[in-house]
Amino acid sequence: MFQAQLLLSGQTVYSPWFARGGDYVRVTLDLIAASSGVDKLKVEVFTKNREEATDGAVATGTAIDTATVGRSSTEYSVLKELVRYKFTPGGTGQNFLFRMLAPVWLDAVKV
Amino acid sequence: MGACCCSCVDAAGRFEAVLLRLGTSVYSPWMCRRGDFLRATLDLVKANSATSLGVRLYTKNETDTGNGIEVDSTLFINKNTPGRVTQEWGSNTGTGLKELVRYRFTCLGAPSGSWVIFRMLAAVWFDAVRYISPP
Repeated sequence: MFQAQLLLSGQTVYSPWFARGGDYVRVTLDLIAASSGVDKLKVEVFTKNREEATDGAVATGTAIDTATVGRSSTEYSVLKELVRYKFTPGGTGQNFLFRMLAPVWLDAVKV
Repeated sequence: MGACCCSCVDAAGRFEAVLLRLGTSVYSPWMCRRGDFLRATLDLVKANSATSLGVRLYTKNETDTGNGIEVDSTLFINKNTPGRVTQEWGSNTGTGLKELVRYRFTCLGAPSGSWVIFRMLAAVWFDAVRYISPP
């Protein structure tokens, strides 16, 4: 969970790596304020194994890409041992105040 | 009513592979509120025939007896296809959340004898933040 982060346009940042808690993760962005109301903040989930020494690759899922203040959720899967967020604020000269709520981990069930 | 001990929140707020038959309406155990807002996710594993599952949220204080009251009768989950859906309740919806909350699950649809299998994923609790523009 991240509290009240401020990002400016053009600053693409990754979160720290954290351990996978299940095969699937539902992540929630809480966009508190966006200066333009038009330019979007994009949130993706990246993943890699501990043995790898790279930035990781985007996991399977649909990115959150929104300019709307409030909560937005999405789900990612095919996660490796470690995951992290990638935040990409859009536009020029804009700022985005946001936080990530606690992720929800789950594994598939079959009937 | 047995008061929640807070260490059992995860157990009370998360359900694995529950089977509910048509016409059945059940409450979950009470769980402690951990914030002003709750985002709950239903994972409908399978719905037999034209059956759907409704999930509503109830609340009350520790001092109250009874079944509690519905947080907001206009905000609920109603799902009839397998998959996950998230609903948010909070201090800006209906009565808001009191000290205890619980789900009410209702299996709806037809024909008789049909059923749903579902689970609730771990609840996400949080409090509001405010952004005050600089003067």
